[in-house]
Amino acid sequence: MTVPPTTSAAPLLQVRDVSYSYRSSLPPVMEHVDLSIRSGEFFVLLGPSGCGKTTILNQVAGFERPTAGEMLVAGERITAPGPDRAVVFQGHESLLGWLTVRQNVEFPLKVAGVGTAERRRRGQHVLELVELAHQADKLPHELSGGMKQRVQIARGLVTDSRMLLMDEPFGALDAQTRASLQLELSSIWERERRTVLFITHDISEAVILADRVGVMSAGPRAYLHSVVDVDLPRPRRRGPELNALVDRLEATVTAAKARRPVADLTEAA
Amino acid sequence: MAVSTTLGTTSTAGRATRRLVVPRPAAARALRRTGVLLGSLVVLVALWEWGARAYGVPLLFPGPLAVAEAFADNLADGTLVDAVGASLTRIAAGFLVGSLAGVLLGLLLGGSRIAAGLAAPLVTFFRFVPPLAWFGPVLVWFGTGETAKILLIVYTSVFVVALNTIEGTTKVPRDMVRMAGVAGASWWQRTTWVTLPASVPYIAAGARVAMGNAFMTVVSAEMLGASAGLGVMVNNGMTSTNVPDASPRSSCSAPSASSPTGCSCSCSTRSASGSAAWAPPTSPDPPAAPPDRRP
Amino acid sequence: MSAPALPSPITSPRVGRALLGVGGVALAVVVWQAAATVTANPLVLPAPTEVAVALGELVADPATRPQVVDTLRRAVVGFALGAFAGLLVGAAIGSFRPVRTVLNPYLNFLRMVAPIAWIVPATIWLGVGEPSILFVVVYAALFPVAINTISGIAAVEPDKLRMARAVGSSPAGTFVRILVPNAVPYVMAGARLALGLSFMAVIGAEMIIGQSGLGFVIYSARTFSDTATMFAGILVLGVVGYLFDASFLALRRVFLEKYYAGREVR
Repeated sequence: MTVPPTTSAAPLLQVRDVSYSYRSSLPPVMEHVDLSIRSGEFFVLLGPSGCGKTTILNQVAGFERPTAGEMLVAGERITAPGPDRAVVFQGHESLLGWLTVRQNVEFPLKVAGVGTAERRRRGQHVLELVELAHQADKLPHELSGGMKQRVQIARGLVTDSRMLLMDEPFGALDAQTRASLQLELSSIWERERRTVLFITHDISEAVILADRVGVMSAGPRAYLHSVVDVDLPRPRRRGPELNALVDRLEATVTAAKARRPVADLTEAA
Repeated sequence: MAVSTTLGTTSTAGRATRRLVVPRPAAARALRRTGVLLGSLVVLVALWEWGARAYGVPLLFPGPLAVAEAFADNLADGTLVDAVGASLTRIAAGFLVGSLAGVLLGLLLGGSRIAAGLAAPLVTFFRFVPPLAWFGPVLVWFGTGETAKILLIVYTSVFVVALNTIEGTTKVPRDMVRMAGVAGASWWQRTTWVTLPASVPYIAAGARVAMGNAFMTVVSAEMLGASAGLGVMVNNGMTSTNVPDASPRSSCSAPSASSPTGCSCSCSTRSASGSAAWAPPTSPDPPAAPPDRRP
Repeated sequence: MSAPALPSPITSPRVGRALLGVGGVALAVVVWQAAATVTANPLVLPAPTEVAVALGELVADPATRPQVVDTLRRAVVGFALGAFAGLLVGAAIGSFRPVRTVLNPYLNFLRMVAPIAWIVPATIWLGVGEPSILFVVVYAALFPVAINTISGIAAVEPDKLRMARAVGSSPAGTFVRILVPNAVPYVMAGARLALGLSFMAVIGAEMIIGQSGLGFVIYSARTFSDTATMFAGILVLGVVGYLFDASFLALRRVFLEKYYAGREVR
C-alpha cells in the first residue's frame, strides 16, 4: 500500500495517472488523469459529453476499473464498490419502486444490518435534511423528478460514507427545480461536510456548488485540463460576482475543448 | 448525457476485452456456449441410453438409439414427412386466418370503448375454454374434414392476437392519435395509418404465442381424430404398443369418434403405406418416444 | 365515443364497465338463442335453456358434481406445483450464468413441446390416472412462469444493481431485496398465463385418458351426441376460468399492488 504524502489536508481520493479505453483497438477515452480530492471538499468535475467524466465517477464508485493507473480512497486501492462511497445516480431507476420513500432512504442501513430504531432515527434525520419527512410514506412514482433526486441524496447521506458521488444528479430536471436543488444541496453540504465528487456539464452549476472545479478537455484522449478554485461565500446566488466567475470558467472550458492552455485563472493540471 | 449512453452500450464489450483479448468476444462467447450445449447434450443422451438399458423394456422406455432408428425408419418410408406436412399445413392455415381475424377483432375492440366493454367478459370466458372442448361441437357442425381442425387452430390463435392488438392500440402514444385527428384523418385512415403500424410489436408478440398454441392444438386435435399428422403418429404409436393399461381411452378414441369417416381408417392406411412398424403389437419400434423430439 | 354514456358522477367508470360487460353477455345469449331458434335442432345447436338444464344436472347432481371438482382439483394442484417449479427453475436460470448456459437451450426446446403430447409417455411411465394428468398440467404451467421469471430478473435496471453493490449488499441480499421484488409483475403475468394453460392441459388430458372430469364429460357427451351437455361443460369451463382469473387479479391488487407502482408491466 502506497502511503500518500502527509499534509495537513491529506487527500481523501487520489486518482493517479488513470487512462481508460473501451477496447484495446480504440483510442483511449481519457488518459493520464491525475486528481486528488481533499477530505470535506466539494469537487466538481466539469466537461463536455464523451470526455469520460462519468467513467471517472464509475471507477471511483468501483463499478468499472481503469485500463491503466490506479485510484485510492484514504490510501486504499479501489477494486470494488463499497459502502464508504455512496452514489447518487442521474436517473431515478435506482429507487426501489415497491418501497416507500422512507424504506428507500433506510435501505443502505438495512443492508448494513442496522437495527430498526437506529435506522428510523437516522432515516428521519436525513429525510428532514432534504425536507421530505412529510412525504416519507409515499412510493417513489408518486413524487416529482426533483423529489426523487432528493430521496437519492438522502439515501446517499444516511450512512457514514466517506464520499458522496453524484453523477449529473440534476441533469434531467427543469431549470427552476435544478436551481433550487443546487442551493439546497449547497446548504446540506455546509451542514454535513461530506466529501463530494459531483459530475456535470453545466458551468453555472459548477460555480454554485464547487470548492474546486476540475475541467476536462474533450475526448477522445481527454485529459484533466485545469483545476479552478471557486472562492465565493455560500449561499451563492446569481449576481455580478458569480456571473463574472461563470464567464471566466466558460473561457477555460472553451480552451479545454480546443485542447489549448489558458493563462488566466488556471493552475495547470 | 451522451456519455452515459455510450457507456451503457459498450461496457460489456469492455469487460469482455479485459477478460481475454480476442478479436470478437461475441463470437467467442457463442462458440463457448455451443460447446457447453454439445457437451451437455452428450451427457444427457448418455444418461438417457443408460436409463433405458437399466429399465430394460425398450417398448416402454426406449433409448436414444432406438428413437433414432424409429426416426430414420419413419423418415425413410415417408411417414414422418407426410405427418409433418399434414400438421404444418393445418397450422399455417389456421394460424394465418386466426391471426388476421384477431387483428381485425382487436382493432375493432381497441377502437371503441363500448365494444371493448361489451366483449371483455366474453373474451376472458373463451380464453379459458380450451380448443379441445370445442372439438365435439365443431365435429357436429363441420364434420371430420380439414375445416374442423383448422377452425380449432383459428380458435386458439384469434383471442391471443386480439388481446395483444387491443393492448397495442391502448399503448399508441396519445399525441400520435391527436396528430392524426388534427390532420383530419377519418377513423379508417387513423386506424390503418397510425394505430395499426404503432401496434405492430404487440401484434407480433401475440402472433408468436398464437403460433405456439397452434402447435399444441394440432397435436391434440390429431390425437383425437384425424387421418394424418404428427398427433396421429403419436396416437398410432401408442395404440400399437398394446400395453393394456397404457391407452384404454385413446385406443378406442379413433373408432369411438362416432364419425363414420373417422380415424379408424387412418391406421390401416398408414400400415398399408409400408411401415409395418405401426401395425403389429410386437413391433420393436419405440412408440413411446417423445414424439416432439422429431420436428 | 366515450362522452355520451356515463357522465353521471354516481356511475363510476368501473360500474359502467361492469354494466357494459353484463350487456355484452346478455347480447351473446340473445344471439345464441336466435341462432338456436333458426337451427331448430338441439343436436346441432342446443338453446340456452336446454344447456341450462344440462348445466343444472352437471353441477347440481351429486353424481356428476365430482366431475367438476375433479377437474378443478387437477387444474389447481397442477398449476400450483408447476408454477412453483417454474419459479425455482426460472430463478436459477435467471440468476446464475453457468446454469443459464447449460439449461437455457433445453428450456427453450421443451417449452415448444405441446404439454398434451407428453400424455402418451406419461401414461406409459406413470400409468393411466391422476399422476399422468397431473404431469401434463404441471408441464403446462411450468414454462410460462419460468420464462417470465427469467425475463423479470433480466429486466432489472442496471442502476438498481449498482446501487445495491454501492451500499455493500451481498449477492444473496441483492437477490432477495432487489431481483425478486423487481420480478414480481413478470412472475405474476406468467402465472396468469399458466393458469389458463393449466385449464387447457387438464381438459386435453381428461379427454384422452381421463376416467372423470369435465374433459371426460365433454368427450363422453360427444359419443352420445349429447350436444347440450358438451355446451354445459364448455360453460362451466369458461365461467370457472373467468372467476379464477378475476380472483387472481383481485388477489394481486390486494397483496402485490406496490410491486406494480409506476411500472408498465401488466
